[in-house]
Amino acid sequence: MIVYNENSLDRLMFKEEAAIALRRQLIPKNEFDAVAAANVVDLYRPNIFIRIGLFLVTVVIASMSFGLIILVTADALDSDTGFFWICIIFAFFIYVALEWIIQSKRHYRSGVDDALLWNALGFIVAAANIFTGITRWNNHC
Amino acid sequence: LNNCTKQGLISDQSLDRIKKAESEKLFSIHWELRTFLYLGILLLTSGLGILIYKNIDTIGHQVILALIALLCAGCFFYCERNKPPFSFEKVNSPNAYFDYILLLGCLTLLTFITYLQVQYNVFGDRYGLATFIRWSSCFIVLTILIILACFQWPIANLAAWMGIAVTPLRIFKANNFADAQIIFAGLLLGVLLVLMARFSTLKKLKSHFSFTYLNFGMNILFISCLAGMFHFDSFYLLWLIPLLVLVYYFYRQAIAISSFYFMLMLTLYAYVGISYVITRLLLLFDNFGTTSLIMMYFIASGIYILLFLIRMNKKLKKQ
Repeated sequence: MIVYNENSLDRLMFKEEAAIALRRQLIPKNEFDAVAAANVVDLYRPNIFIRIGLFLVTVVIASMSFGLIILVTADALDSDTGFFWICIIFAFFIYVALEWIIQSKRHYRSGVDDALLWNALGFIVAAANIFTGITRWNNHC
Repeated sequence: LNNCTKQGLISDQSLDRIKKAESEKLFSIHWELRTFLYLGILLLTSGLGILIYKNIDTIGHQVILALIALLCAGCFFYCERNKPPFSFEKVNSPNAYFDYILLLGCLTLLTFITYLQVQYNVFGDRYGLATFIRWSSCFIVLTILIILACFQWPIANLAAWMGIAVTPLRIFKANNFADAQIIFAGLLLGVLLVLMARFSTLKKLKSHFSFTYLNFGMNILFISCLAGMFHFDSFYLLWLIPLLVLVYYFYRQAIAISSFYFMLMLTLYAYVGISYVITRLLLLFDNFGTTSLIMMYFIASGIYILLFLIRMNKKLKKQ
């Protein structure tokens, strides 16, 4: 299952292929323009540097939100299960945010979706760790 | 591809051409070769270093110094013989090895100077050895950089990178935060580099270097500014002023040359600096709610920076 709009992805691919062909001078400029005009990409894809910035900032936002939740629910940290549930719920929220960003804001490799994906995975792994007892939260306290 | 042809977007000739090109595509190893050459020189220098270090008792310092000097002189001699004529525009290197031999020459020169300093203390301890090494490494590299820039050697980019990169790294590694001198030295160096960048663009002297100058100038200036902010504890609010001035200046630059890279760097540096100040101010009210307040600040400001970056991306793209 792909969250991204498949049509948009196809169009993006066509356009990129055409750009490569143009660079290698296999097609004339007017043909490239025609392909580009026929395949308008509606995905949000910023420059690589902006992507890095968005990634970092999103990580900051996510971790600070997690910190805030931890502060509010400080009592739950007394037990492993409490921490496990916080991680799971937080991962779920991040995942929902990720789907929202991709579907309604049309982000595609924009840094924001990268960061949210990694964060969601990270929290799921953390939850699994605590659940299976590989990492015991209370031992570190 | 076939889809596009069906829609009449691509002519049949173009389709044939693309298919032909795809079938007889050459696999380019140009960059692989270059990387190996570059790595080879780095490995050679470091390997020689280790070998010599291990056998220092049997070889003797003078022999090593002479060898290094010979190698260095050889490299520069080769470059001198083969160098393209001087010009203020960008000059392409005469052949594939030229850049790397020059690089080897620069590296051995640096080794030579450091060796002399460490072993025989040639440059003396007029200013006190500790500060002197710091200053000298900074200055020697800068001099080399200037010489290279004047002698139109294209790899000066690389030399600049290697040389100056050491300085900000040292600020962190050697914990020179405690040293006010290096912070001001950094500020001075940064201003100098930015001025050089401006000068070279204005006078069209090697203007292709101006990005390198500006890049290092920016990083060094911002790092020194932040270091100053962290170091001079009681004046951290004052350091906000130069920081904001810098942000404004580089913001204008980034817009002018529509550079995403500068935009990102200045945003991040400014964010760190301003967040530091705000966190410090919030910590003045020392009670239970402060921590949550700080976290809320980071969430809110993070979202703002997110929107800012997205907006800047649009703005720069339009240009």
